[in-house]
Amino acid sequence: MAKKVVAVIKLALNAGKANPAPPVGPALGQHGVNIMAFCKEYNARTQDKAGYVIPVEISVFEDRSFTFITKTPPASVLITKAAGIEKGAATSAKGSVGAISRAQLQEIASTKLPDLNCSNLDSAMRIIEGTARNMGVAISD
Amino acid sequence: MPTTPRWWRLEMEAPPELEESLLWKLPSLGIRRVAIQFSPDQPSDHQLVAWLPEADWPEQEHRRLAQQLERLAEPFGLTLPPLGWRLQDEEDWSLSWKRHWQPDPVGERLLILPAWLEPPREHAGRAVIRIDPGSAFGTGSHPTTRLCLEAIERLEPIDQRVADLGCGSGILGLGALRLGARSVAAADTDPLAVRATGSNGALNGYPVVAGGALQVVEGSVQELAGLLGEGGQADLLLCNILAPVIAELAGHFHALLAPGGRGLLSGLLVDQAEELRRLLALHGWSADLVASQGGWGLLEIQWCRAVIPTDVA
Repeated sequence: MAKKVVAVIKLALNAGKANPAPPVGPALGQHGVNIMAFCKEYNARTQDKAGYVIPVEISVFEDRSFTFITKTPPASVLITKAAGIEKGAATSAKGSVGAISRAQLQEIASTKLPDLNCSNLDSAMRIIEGTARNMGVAISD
Repeated sequence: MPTTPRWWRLEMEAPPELEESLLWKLPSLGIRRVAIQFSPDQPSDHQLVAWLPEADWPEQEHRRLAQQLERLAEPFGLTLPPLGWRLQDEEDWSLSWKRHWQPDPVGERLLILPAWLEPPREHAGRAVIRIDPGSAFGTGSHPTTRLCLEAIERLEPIDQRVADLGCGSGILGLGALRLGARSVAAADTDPLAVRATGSNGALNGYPVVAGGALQVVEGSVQELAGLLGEGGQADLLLCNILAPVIAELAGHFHALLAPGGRGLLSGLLVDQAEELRRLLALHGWSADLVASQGGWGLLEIQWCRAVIPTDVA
C-alpha cells in the first residue's frame, strides 16, 4: 500500500500492559489511530517479556492506519545493568552510585545508536556518557 | 457533582543529547506517561509530551520540576528548553478515536463502513466494505485507495480472478469481491497487514479458509504467484504501493497478470507517472494515467510488448 508516514510516536510501555490511558490514548488518539488495535497488537507481541519496559515506535500513515516496531531498552536500563546497580542516583551526584568502563559505554552506544536521535557513534557515546553522569554513574578509563 | 479528572499535558522540545536523560529522569519523579513524537519531514526535531494527573501536580510543583530537569542539561552544556503546560480533560480514549471515522461512499456503488457502525439509510443501495481501521494501510480515506476502488468499479471485475500485491488492510480485494470478482489472492510483506486482511475478510463474510474466495500470504511477487497457483495468472492486478517499489516490481508483473488482463497501479504521484510509464514500457506494459486525485495518480496497465518507445533505450 502507498504508505506515507505523517507522524512518529515513541512510547516506553510495560510489556503486555498497554492500555488506552495516557500516554497511549491521547498520543495516538490525536491522530485517529485505533487505540484498541494498537494495545492488542503490542500486548500480543510483548507478552513474553512481562516485567520489562519495551519501548515502541509507532508510525502513523496518512490514512490514520499505523504500524509499529519495538525498540532497544532505554539507555538508563543498559547503564544500570552495565554498572551492576539497581537504579541511578536521585540527584546527579557524579559517580556516586556506580561506574561503567569506556568500553561498556561504547557497547551501549553501539546498541542504542539505531534508536538515538543522532547518526554516528561519537554522538551516541556523548549522549550515553551524559545520561550516565546524570544518573550518577561515572565513566572509568 | 463529580468533576471529570484532568491531566496536565507537559510539552517541551527534546534535544537529541537530552532525550535519554529525560526518559530516565521523568519516571524517577513519578512521571511515567511520556511520549516522544516527531514528523518524518523533520526527523531531528523531537517533542516530548508527558501527562501528569492534575490532582498530583499543583502549579507550584511545576517550577520545582523544571529546576530538577534543568540539571540534566548541564553535562551537555545546554539550557533546558521551556516547558509548556496545559490542562486536558480525561476522556474514554478507548472510544474517542472513533470520532475520526465515518461511513465513506466511494464511486457510485461502494461504501466503506467502520466495523462498529451500521450502514446509514441514505447509502442503503451501496455494496458495503466493512473495515476495522487499524494496523494496516488501506482504511479508505487516502486518495490512492479511493482511486483504485473507483477504477475497480469502472472495470466491473465480474467473475474475475484478482491479485492484490501489497494488500494492506485488504480493502481493494474486498472491494473487488463486492463488485463481483470470483476470487482474490493477496500478499503483503508486513505480517500485520496479512493479519488485518484476514480479519477484515472475516468481517465481510470472506474468511481466509481453504477453498475460500479470499486468500492471503505474507510476501511479495513470488509468494503471490504461488498463491495464484495452477489456476494461472490473474485477470486483474491491484497494486497500491509507492512508485519506487512499483518500479522495482514492474519486471515481475508478468508472473501475476494474464495476457489480456489489466493492472491498476495507484500508489504514485501524478508527476511520477511519466517516468513509471516509460519503465513499464521497457518491461512490455502499456500504461495510461487514467485518473488522479489530490496529486496522486492511477495507472492502468496492459501487456503490450509492441509499445516499447525508442526514446527509453
